[in-house]
Amino acid sequence: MESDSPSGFASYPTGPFGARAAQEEPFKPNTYAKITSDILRTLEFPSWKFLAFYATILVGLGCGIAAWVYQIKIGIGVSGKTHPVGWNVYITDFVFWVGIAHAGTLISAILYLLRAPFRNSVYRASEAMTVFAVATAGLFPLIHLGRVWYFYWLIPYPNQRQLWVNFRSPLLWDVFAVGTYATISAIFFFVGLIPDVAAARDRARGIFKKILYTIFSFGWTGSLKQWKHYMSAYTFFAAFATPLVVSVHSVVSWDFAMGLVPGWHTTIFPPYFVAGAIFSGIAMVITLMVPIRHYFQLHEYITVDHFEALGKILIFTSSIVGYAYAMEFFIALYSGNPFERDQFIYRATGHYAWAYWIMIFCNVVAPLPLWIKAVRRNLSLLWVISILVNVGMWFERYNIIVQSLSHEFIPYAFGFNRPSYIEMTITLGSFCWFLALFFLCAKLFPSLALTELKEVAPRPLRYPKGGEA
Amino acid sequence: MALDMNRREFLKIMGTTAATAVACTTPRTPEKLIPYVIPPEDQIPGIATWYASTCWECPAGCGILIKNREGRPIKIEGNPDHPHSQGGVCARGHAALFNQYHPDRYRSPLRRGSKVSWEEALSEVVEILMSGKVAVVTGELKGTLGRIFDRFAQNLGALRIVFEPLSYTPLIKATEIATGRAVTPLYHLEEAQFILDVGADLLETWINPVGQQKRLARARRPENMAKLVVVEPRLSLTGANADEWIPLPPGKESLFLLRLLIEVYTRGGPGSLTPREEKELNTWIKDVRAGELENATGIPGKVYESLARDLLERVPALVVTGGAGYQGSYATQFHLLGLIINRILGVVGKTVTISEASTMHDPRNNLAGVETLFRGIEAGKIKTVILYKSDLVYALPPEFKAKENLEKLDHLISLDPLPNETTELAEYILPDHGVLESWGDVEAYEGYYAIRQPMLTPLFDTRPCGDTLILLALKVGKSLPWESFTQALRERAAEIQLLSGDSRPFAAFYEELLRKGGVSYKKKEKESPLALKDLHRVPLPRVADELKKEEEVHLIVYPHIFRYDGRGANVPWLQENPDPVQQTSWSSWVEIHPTLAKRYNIENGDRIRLVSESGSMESYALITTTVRPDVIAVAAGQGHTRASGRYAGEIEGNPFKLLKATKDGLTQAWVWGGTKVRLQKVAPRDLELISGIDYHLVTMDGEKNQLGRQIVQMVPLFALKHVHDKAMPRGGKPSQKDGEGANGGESVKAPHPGETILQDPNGFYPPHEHPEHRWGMVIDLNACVGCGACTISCMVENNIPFVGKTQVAKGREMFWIRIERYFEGDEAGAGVRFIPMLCQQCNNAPCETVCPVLATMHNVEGLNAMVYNRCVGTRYCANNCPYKVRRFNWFGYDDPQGPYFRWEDPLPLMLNPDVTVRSKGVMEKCTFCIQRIREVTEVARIEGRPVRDGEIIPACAQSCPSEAIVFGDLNDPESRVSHLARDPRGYRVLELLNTQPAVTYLKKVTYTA
Repeated sequence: MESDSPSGFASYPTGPFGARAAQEEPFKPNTYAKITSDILRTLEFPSWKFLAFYATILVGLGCGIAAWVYQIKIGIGVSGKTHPVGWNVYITDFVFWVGIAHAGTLISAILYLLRAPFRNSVYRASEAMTVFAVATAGLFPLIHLGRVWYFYWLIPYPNQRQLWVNFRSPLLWDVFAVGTYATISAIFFFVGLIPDVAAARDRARGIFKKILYTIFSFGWTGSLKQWKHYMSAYTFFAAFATPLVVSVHSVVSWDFAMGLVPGWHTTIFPPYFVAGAIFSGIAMVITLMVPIRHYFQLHEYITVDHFEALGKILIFTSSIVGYAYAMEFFIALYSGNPFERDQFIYRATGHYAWAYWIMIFCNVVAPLPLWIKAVRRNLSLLWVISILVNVGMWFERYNIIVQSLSHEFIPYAFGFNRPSYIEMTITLGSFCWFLALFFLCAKLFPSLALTELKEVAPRPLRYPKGGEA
Repeated sequence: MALDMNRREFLKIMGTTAATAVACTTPRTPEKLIPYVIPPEDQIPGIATWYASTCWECPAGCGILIKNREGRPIKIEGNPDHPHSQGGVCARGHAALFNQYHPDRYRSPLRRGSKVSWEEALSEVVEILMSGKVAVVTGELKGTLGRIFDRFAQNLGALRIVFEPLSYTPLIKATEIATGRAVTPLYHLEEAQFILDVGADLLETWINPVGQQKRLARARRPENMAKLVVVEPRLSLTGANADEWIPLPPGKESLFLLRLLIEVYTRGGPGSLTPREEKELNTWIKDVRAGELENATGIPGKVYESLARDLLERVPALVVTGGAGYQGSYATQFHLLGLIINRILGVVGKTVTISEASTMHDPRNNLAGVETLFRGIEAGKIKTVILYKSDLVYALPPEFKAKENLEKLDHLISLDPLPNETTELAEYILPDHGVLESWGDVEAYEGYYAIRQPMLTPLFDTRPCGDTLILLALKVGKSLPWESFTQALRERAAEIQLLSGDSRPFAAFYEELLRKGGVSYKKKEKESPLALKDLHRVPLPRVADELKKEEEVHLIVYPHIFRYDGRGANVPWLQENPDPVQQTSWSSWVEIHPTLAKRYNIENGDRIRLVSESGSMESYALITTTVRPDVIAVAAGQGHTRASGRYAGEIEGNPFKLLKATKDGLTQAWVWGGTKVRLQKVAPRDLELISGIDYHLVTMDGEKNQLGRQIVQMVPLFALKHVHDKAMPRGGKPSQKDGEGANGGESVKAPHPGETILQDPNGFYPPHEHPEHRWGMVIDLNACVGCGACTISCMVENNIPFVGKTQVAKGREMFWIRIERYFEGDEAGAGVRFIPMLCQQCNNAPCETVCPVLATMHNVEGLNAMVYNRCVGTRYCANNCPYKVRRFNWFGYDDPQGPYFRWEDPLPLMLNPDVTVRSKGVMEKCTFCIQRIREVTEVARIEGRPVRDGEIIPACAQSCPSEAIVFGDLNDPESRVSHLARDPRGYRVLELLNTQPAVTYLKKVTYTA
């Protein structure tokens, strides 16, 4: 596949999303050894800046935990939820984080199968993002429970209470969908780590790191036989994870689509949710990768071309999402169902119109400049847009959940709510929880995939001294 | 791991463990744990006993039955044997239970706020009484207690004052002028074909609201529906249920009736009166000019013409006059005019009776008495006041300076069981028993004697106030002719037995009296003659109360359906239950018409100040078209201080402090009309920053309009006949095609719930089967007036917590049944619709499928059962419920350690032991009072018989004075509920969702299309 051109990325393969030549950025040829040392450099003991940043995150996480403990003690009423809006910020957060979790598997599994090598530099971080986003998302169904201390009643296992769960409830489907997704994406993540962790193991000095890497490298020696099995296993998991990208968010969307609430009960939801999830996930990848690239000095590995490719996915999914918004509105008006019609008019003009228009601006209008190549290649602009998309996608879920619930069938029971401080603190805590896990991981495991970066390194430069990596 | 332990070691460890466990759990010695050695005859644990008694929350004296469990009253229901209330109870009646267990009750005698023993307190009070200069001030007390108070005052040579803010004295006076009997007439609405109601809030507080509601519901059965026209300046609940609402300027009621009298008299008068009466009447009204009256009232002549036509043609018609809030200084004339029109219509003795009258009100209730009292205090002639059930400080208009005057007293002695703003000033509190702890009687209706009996041993160190008075009089040396209150009561009962001609021994009579709660003792006499005479002595009403200044508007203060004159304000149930028309909860509000609001640049929820000649009041603006533009209306009953209790004290706005001491010209009774106020905006609406919630003016209605969603459906009367004729074969079997599922528009309509249920034969899940029972309900929207009694009845029956103002503002009220109110169109008037909304027990329940833990399930009797202890609180069911009738426990309302604990001591005593008290984080909802269903089905099973139709009555249906709710078995095609569900008026709310509710609503019948 790769050409032998010494101009490096000029020879980069072109795939469905692959970047074309990047002549404007002269490529500094890398050897395997340099790649290894560059990437493993990120695992060194952190600077005080990093530690200060991490401490801030932990404080935020602590606030979130304290808020949750308070909520458990006093009652779920400390959140802003009311009658009729029984779901609010927590379920919004849940769907948001599940959505974030999509990009990782999309990039690592689907793009792997599609042989889009530009993924190689970003997939590790986005996979880590997936695992931790699912870990964050999984908290919210617990946080929003009225009696979280009985959460295990949602799990079907034989028990002496002789009680069983309701397999007709989409919430139970959620338990399975998210559980499966969390399991597979974690396995996929750890499998992908094996060769890299082995490389780290070989260089690790501290006893703690030695043990950690020894465990996670699963006795990797790098023999040809191991590589053979490893590659087939990796492909297998990639193939296994691919349908999950579609299924998880489809199932999450059924939480709503299976309900009969106007604004929820539509068939467009599964594709719309999946597209939105990819949209938000890619945006989150950009949001995270831009600072990581900067602080870990990975400019050579994560290039502007990679970001441009992500920018293209962003504008593509933005268009799908924008189309879905228009279609939802059109069907609501065209179907003649007064409840649906009122619901959508309410969304655009009612009590929460501000949230609706934030969503439209962030998800449809703000990404429009990405049609211009110069914008896609301008990392500052791209980063700002990616953050706006994250905001917009959060509000999309907020609109769907809260607005629909506040404007249902019985006019007398219309109501509204707004987030309480507790909910906002827990949401903030969830971001801190995610970042804490993510950066801990970035410090413990190689945040870029050594082996796969090596795969795309131009051949003549792989062994400049004729030696091995 | 191998278990390396021999037997001895094992025993050692066991022994130590057991010893430690015992040592760590030192048991608390139970103080009283003595079981019934000889159980009381009427107390079987687990089985309720019912006692008949009489409600004492307002003067109407409705018959009640009190449910006792293990010696504690837990629920009040209507006594069907009572001739007037006939089994209905209003929201205030239910609240008596709360007053019995009120945490604010006085728990022992107090001297200046500190506890003293009865002996000490009594001996000190006796000394005070010895020095004379005493006045006895009470509310209107009829019956034995009233007699004891009168006799006590008489023996002590004390001044006897009766004062309550609501005065019926003008009506009594008018009846006396017309018939010579000082009573209030009774309105037999059920007989009438046309009811013209001028100002009387028949369904809220006027005379006997429960009885009147019952009668009105009968009058308005669609087979023969009487037309109701309500004339009043502010839309009351009665007006909201009228077919026609005529907003009359305030203070013009008597002029309106005078003009109507002329119309009725000229059209139908000749022949209906004797020549002497005609002459009398002609002289009386000879100077009256119809045109002047039309100008004064602002109501064109053709309205009078059509009203007169209706009155004369729809026989028998009825004119009802009243409304404490609308009476002006010609109040007596106003009522008299109403009686005269009824006389001309020839309906006295038919739709309005004087012989069978109400005697519940004391004609001594007027302002002249209070003036005498305060003059006496001023002059030093009164040094001591004994007070009972008369909250002078709260209720008297500011010009009396009640507080300052009472503070001048040497001694103020209160016998009240509950605190209020006047008892706060009291030196001695000699607390009365709670309402369900004491004996008593109520003589509210001629020919009916009602008794109140104690239900439980007194909770606190209190004494019945009758006994206190008897004892005091004895010690002062001016003993009353009774030894105890119960003796006085028995004497009165013996007199009643004589009157009733009952020849049994007294014990047998008395026992039956207690069992039935009352006895009718007099045969119906011939109707008292209503003859028009001496009219020339009554001055004709004149034009009065004109607005003189540009910025002034009329103020209307009206007694509130729940707070009454303020006595209901300290009951959280009555605060939380939303005002039926305005839907406000826990709030004080001022009703302002949009035009007026625009003039003053006031918006909904703004804080405003009302300034009258007498005083000022701050409250919150509620912009509504239910008042005239030249009127602002305020409900009485709010604006207590903390002294009145923990629940009432937080809400400001006491309209009595705006009122002048306007007196009715003939009776000196206090009339609330005739005050004018100026409006000032104080501050814009205060919305909380983050939540955007208004915590000051709290309303429960999310939307005032149905948005064309057909929640409440109507059918015009003229079309109803037509519908009856071509009644669809709903009762028949659904055709085969219907069963075929979702194809075709027809089959989407759910068939009658009692019939085969539409199910998709290709569906994955089998249809629900209801082999034995399928419980169902029918609610007649034509009967429902929206009074809100069911809501409270349900709260009491099902241990539903009240949640308080902040939580209601967030929409977290817990009502399992609520009355939704919708306005049709923009303008109020005859366009108000009410619909009770409760769990519809859907056959295809959207809530059931979404619960992940099966906490809500369809049971074999067709109920959506709710398993509280299985619920984990996902709230998915509530989200998916299209009727929005599931309620969530946001906090631990049951947790004594929690910040939202709602059952403060001794309130837990009133909890229904048959119903779980739900904990924090679980969903709850109506299940048609499943505990009552179980009780009856089990009794039926034990007795080996089927459940009888009508045997099970849910709490809402029981209390409904309109009998709008019918419950029964839909599996039984002959049950009442099945018949009604097949009525052509029947529909199910949101039928298009195919939820297949078990609740059928009967369309409201309207006079116009």
